[in-house]
This record gives sequence, structure tokens and C-alpha cells, in this order.
Amino acid sequence: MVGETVDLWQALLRSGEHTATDEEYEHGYKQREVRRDLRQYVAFRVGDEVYGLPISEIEEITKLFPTTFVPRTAPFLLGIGNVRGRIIPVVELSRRLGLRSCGYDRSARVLIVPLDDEPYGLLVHEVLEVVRIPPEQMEDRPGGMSGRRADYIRALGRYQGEIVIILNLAEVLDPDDFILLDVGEERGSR
Amino acid sequence: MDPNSSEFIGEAQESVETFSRHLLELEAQSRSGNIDPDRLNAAFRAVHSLKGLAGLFNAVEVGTLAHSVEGTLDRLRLGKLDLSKGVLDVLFDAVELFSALLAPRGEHEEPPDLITLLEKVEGLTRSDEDGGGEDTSLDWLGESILSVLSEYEEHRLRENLRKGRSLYRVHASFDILAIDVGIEQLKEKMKEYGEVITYLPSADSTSDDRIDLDIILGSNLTFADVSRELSERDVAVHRLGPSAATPPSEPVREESTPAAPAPSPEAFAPEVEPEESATEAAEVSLRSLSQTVRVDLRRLDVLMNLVGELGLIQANLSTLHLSLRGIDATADASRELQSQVRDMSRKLTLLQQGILDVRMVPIGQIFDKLHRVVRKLSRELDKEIRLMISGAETVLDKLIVEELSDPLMHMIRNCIDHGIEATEVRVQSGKTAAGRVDLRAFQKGNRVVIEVEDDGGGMDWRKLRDLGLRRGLIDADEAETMSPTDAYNLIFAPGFSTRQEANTVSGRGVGMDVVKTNIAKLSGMIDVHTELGRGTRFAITLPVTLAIIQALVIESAGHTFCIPLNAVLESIMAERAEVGTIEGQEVITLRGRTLPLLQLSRLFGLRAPPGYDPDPNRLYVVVIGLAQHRVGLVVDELLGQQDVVIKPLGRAIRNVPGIAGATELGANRTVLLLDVGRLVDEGVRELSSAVFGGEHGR
Repeated sequence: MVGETVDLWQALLRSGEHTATDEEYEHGYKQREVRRDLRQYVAFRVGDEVYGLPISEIEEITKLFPTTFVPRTAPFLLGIGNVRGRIIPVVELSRRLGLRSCGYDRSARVLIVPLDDEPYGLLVHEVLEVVRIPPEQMEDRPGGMSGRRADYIRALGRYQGEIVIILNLAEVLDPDDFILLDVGEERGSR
Repeated sequence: MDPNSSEFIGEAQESVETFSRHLLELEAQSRSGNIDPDRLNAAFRAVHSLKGLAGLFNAVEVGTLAHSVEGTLDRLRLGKLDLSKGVLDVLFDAVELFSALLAPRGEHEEPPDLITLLEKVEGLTRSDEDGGGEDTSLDWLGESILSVLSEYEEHRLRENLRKGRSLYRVHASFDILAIDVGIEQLKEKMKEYGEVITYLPSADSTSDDRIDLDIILGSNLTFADVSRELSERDVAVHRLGPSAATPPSEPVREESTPAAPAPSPEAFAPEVEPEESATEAAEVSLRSLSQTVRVDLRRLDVLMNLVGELGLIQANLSTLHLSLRGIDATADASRELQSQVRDMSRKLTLLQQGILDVRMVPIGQIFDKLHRVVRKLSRELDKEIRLMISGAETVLDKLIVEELSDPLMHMIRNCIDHGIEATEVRVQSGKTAAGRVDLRAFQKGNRVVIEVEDDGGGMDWRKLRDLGLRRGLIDADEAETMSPTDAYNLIFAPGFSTRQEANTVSGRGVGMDVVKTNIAKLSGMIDVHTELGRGTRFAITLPVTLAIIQALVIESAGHTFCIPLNAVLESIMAERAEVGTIEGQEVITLRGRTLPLLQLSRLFGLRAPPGYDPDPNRLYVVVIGLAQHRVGLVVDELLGQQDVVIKPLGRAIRNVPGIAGATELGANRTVLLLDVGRLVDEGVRELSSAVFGGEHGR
């Protein structure tokens, strides 16, 4: 997996909104001043929507790697893959969030997110940028929303006029949802 | 006894490695010009025991070479030969040849060239024969001492005098019961001041339960200093020497000394020397006990499998307990059973851990070999290289350590061949003339990191990218957007070599891609960091242990799975026509028994990829069994048996029924391991009782 482990992550972190130039690859990135109270989010695209996760919740960003289908699991589980010797379940976010599925191209990325000390992979269509959203620009999940999908949303952020949906990882990756219940579980309960 | 027995080879290899370690140390010492005679002795002992071993097992070639090398070492010890670079080279060649002689040899392979080296070794021995003709007289020592000194001791004595050291006779008295400890302590103490040349039995034993020894010490310290330093040790110090008007022994504290150095050596020798050699032997055997309980890895695997089977039995017991509780939940016996089962499972875990621990060995074992490689390469390429090693004591599973040696050797070769620049280039760019290669191992959480770092020229990512493009590993589009990190990782791609032509050192058709694959097989990973002009660092991260099982690899509807081999009773090939049905359940008759069949693809809802087309008339049945139940698992293909490393699945998918874990086959191919117990269970449940009734009837 080493080959796919892009240092993009560090790149995004250091360069902020701007894409690194060759010049910078050669001489290293300049450290920029950062407003302390801004929280940083990694914005990414799933289908046509923009989602975000706090930087601190993402361990690394890699290209899509080969995965192995795991029978008897929910369709949103793309499979398991091996990243640096660790077995990581990869979740196809568009299916998990109930969005229209569309194909992946070369900009597809997997965000490696640790949850309760175990890594998970989130397949997204594209990683956009690191955005800094001041707390005053964040709003709670709209009260009108209901249903399972609403649980996945932690908050809504606004960034340059666009809505960034901040995900609630603990709900998105609820272990109870991974296994298909009709195989085995009722048998297993005996 | 058979010279090819693993017992001999294992022990002999160890001696060779010990010898090689001492030799490396000696080489370093010879550079600083201060050779420790103890080190030389240790090297001598290693070769000597190798010789003995070879004699015992009739390993003629090893024995002949060991004998010859031993002779050379003896001459070195006695100062008849100088430890020059030429001598060291021949000795290192001998190490290589020992290894070659001990390596398993195929029938058509050329036997290693023993004769040439033997001639070289003999050549060393013969030249420079008469060096010590002008020996000064040592008569002043007195006949009583001179007559009992061995040739070696006499040489050391002269050597000390030549260095301008003074000689002292230290008289000590030991309790016969604690003599080993006493001598050892005194020896340690005296080593700080100089060299202990010999121990001589002393005549004036005062009682039966004490042994008195005269110890000859060579030291730079003055008489007063030595006396003071050793004063609390309950010993008497005398100065020996031709200088001044001192007679052979000048009494200092003891009045009885004039009579002291007049023992009858023959009378005392048997009494004292066994003591001395006993202490030495005790020391040696203690050491070997802690390092060399030699166990065949396969035996450990057998134990490991047994533990696995015990685990299954434990699972059965706990199922049994559950059904007992169904009958009477309050029964004391049931509660007792529960607590016993729980205890058993805890102990099983400990047992498993214990067996895994036994497999642990320090990685220093292969570092020593790498040291030799570096030495050889630096000579071949005429680059001066210093290899810095740290963390040799880090432990890893024996299997991992074995498998690591080739990849590490290849990486070190790369470092020296491609990484470290030629000496002139280094000097021009302001570096030290000698290149430096660092080999580090350290534990990080439950993983071990091994780093190979050089201070050479580093890699230019643009060049790597362009080369990748030329080699057709990437296309122009990819090259356009390629980041430095991706470019560096190109070196792990098959068919990538940064030298135009393969040379003898590192270009032999295999490259970093093989290194990477081998490391991936051990469920490790490799990373590279490089800085142009500063050097390159490779970091290998490995698990400390491997939970290894043997597995049968099968394919069903284009998906690959592993089945633990200990649950597989047999696997057979059957024709579609042999399959019958009982009440809708597919069965096959195997040696008169009806075996219910389970289609793995249907069980798991597997969809075959387009174009997947197994022979519909032929099927493979893997007979799996747990406790008394047997089920035939129908699969499309048997791919073979393999040792696989089991990795746990995360919380989310740990409980998928029928899946026990995952493993890696080849580079980055993750494969699931079937939970046989669960599948058999499902199979049995699916069968109607009628089927079983029928089966029992037969």
C-alpha cells in the first residue's frame, strides 16, 4: 500500500487552500500563519454533495486500493483492504448515505479514519481541500430532518457560501449496521 | 554421526557466527592498534569448538578448515603472526567458506573451493615464522614460575614487558567452596588495571579448605597503586622484575614469601586447574543454556496446532455447558463447569502466548551476517563503509528473522552500490570519506521497525519519474501529475532499476519489488525517505509475531478463501452426476457414508464475475468436520496449501458468520479465512432430521 499512500494529507495541511507548486515540492512548504480559533476540516465530495470531517479525525488519505469482498455484509461495505499491514474495512460513503451512486475516477480517494482505535476507510469521489470554518459559521443539524440519515450529520458548516455537511463518524460507522441480519444472526442467537 | 544433520549444522553455524563476531571486533581493534588478547582467545575457542564438533560428526572439510584456521589463530595468539589486513581477509574468507560448507548443497552444485583457501591459510602461517628470536631472558622470574608457564602465557608476559608494563605477583587465598566466585571477582577487578597473565598454584596453603593462588598481573600502574587498589581484597602484592636490585621475590607483607614460589606444580596442578576450568565451563554452559535451546520450528508449530485444537474442544465444552444450563440453570455442577471452562480458556491463551514467545529471537543474528556483506562489498567496490548497528537485541519471530535476511542484504547492497557515492565525490561535497550505513531495529508498540539508512547521494524524484516513464511503468499523464512521494515509490515497481546495466553487486534481476513482496508476505511494509545529496532511509515495519496456520486455499465463484487445514479431513473431486438429493438437500456418497453438501457460493451469496467459467460437470468437495459432524463444502477450485498469517478483522466485521479472519496471499491480496465450525453448524441445521436419521441407518 505504500505506493498509494500519498503525502497529500500533509500537503493539504500545510498549504491550506492552495495547491502546491513544483517549486514547493523542491524546497518544502512554507509554514503559514493560522488563526488559532479556526477549526480545520477536510472537505470532500460524495456524489454531488460536499461533506467534511475534522482534520483530527483523519489519519491519512490514500488512493483507492484493491479490496476483497466480504460476504454477508451490508452493500455499503465495499470490502476489506490492507493498508500498511492492517486490515481495513472500506465503506462506500455514497451508498451508506443513500446517495445516487456514480462511478469513481482517478480522483477517488480513501480517507483512513480511526474510530475507537480501529481504522476504517471511507471511499469518496474526491478530496477537495482543507477548509477553516470559524465556530460562528457552524450550525446545528436542521431540526426538520429526521430518519436515519439525519443521525449521520453532526453539523452544517458554511464555507464561502457553500454548505459543508460535517459527518458524525460514530453513527456512519456503527458496527451494528455492517452485518446483514438475515444471514445467521437469528440462527446464531440460539 | 551425519554431518548433514540439523543438529550439527545448527551448532556449527552458531560457532561460525561467534567466530565472525569476534573477528569483526578484532578488525575494529586492529584499526585502533589495541588488540584485546581475550578477544583473540574467544575467537580461538570458537574455532576450536567448531573443530571438535566437526570431528564428532565426521564433517571432514569443516574439520580440516577449522584445524587450519585454529593454527593461524594460535600463532596470532602467540604473537608469531601479526593481525594484518591480509590475515583478516583470509580469516573472513574462511568464515564465508564455513558458511558455504554448512549450507545445504544441491547435487549439481560445485563444492566450495576448500583447497585454495587452505593454501592461503597455510601460507599465512608459514610466512613471518621467525619473529621472536631475540627473546630476552626471563630467568629473573625464577625457575618455579618459568617452568609452569605455557608458551602462550610466556608470550603474553613478554608482550606486557615490551609495552613497558610492570609485572606483579598477586597472592590470594580463596575458600575452596567459593573459589569460582572469588576468582571471577578478583579477575574483573584486576582487568581494570592490566592483563591477567596466568594463575599459579601457591605452596603455602594454610588449610585444607582454602586454595592459594599466585596471579601474575601485567599493569601500567606503579607498585604502590596496585597494592592500594587491591588492598581490600585480602591479597598480597609483590613486584616482579629484573630491574632494580629486587630478587625474584621481594617480601612485602608476608614473611613466608621466600618459600612461596617453590611449589611442585605437578602436585598442585590437578587440584587447581580443574577448579579454574570448571568456572570457565560453568560460565560457558550457562551462556549457552540461555541462548541455545534448539527446537525445530516445526515442533513448535505442532504445539501451536495442538493449542488450536484445544481451543476447539474448549468451544465445544462451552456449547455443552449452554445446553446443560438449558436443562437446569441452577445446578451447582453447571456453574462449576462454567467457571472451569472460563479458566481453561484463560490458560489456553497464556499457553499460546508462551509458545509464541519461544519463537522469539534477537534480530542481531542476521545483523552479524550483514556486517560481513558490508565488509565484502566495501572491498569489492573500493568504498570505505562504516556500518553502525543498533537495537540488535530487538526480538522478532524466528520465521520473520529468517525471511528478513535476504531483503535486508539486498537493501544494504543497494545502499552501498547506488547510495554511497565514490570517495572523491564524497570528499568534494564535504562529507567524510567513509560512507556510513545505519542499521537500526527498535520496537514500536506491537510492531518492530527496522531502518536501513545511508548518508549517500539520495534519490532525485524527477529522474525516477522520467525513468519510470521510459520503462513504461507510468504514462505521460501520470508523469505529469506525479508527486515526489509517488516517484520514490516507483523503485518498488517490478522492472525498475536505476542503473543502466546490471552489475554483479546489486543488479541481479531482482530489485526492490522483490524486497517489497517478501516483506508484504510477512505482513510488513516498507517506506522510503530520501533527501537529495543527504541520503536515503528505508523503514521496514513488521509485526512482532505471526499467528501462523496452515490453510487450504480454494476458489468459489471467482472469490478466493482459506480454510484452516486442521479442520479439513480430505478434499475430493467429484462428477456432477454423483450428487444426489435427499429431501432437497444435496448429498454425495463417500465410502458408503452420506455426506451433506454445502455450496459455498450459495451460502455466501457470491456472484461470479463475468467470464468466470468453471467446469460445470466437475466439482471439488472439501470435507470439513467439527466434532462428530461432517459436511462437504463444494468449491470450484483447489488452489493449494499454504502457511498463512491470520489477522483479526475489526470490530465492524468481526462477527460476520462464517468468517474467522483475514490473511494476505501474495502482495496485497487480502483473503478471508472461513470459520469452519460455524459453517458446519449451519450445514447441520439446514439438514432435516430425516436426513440424519437416514445417515445413521446406514
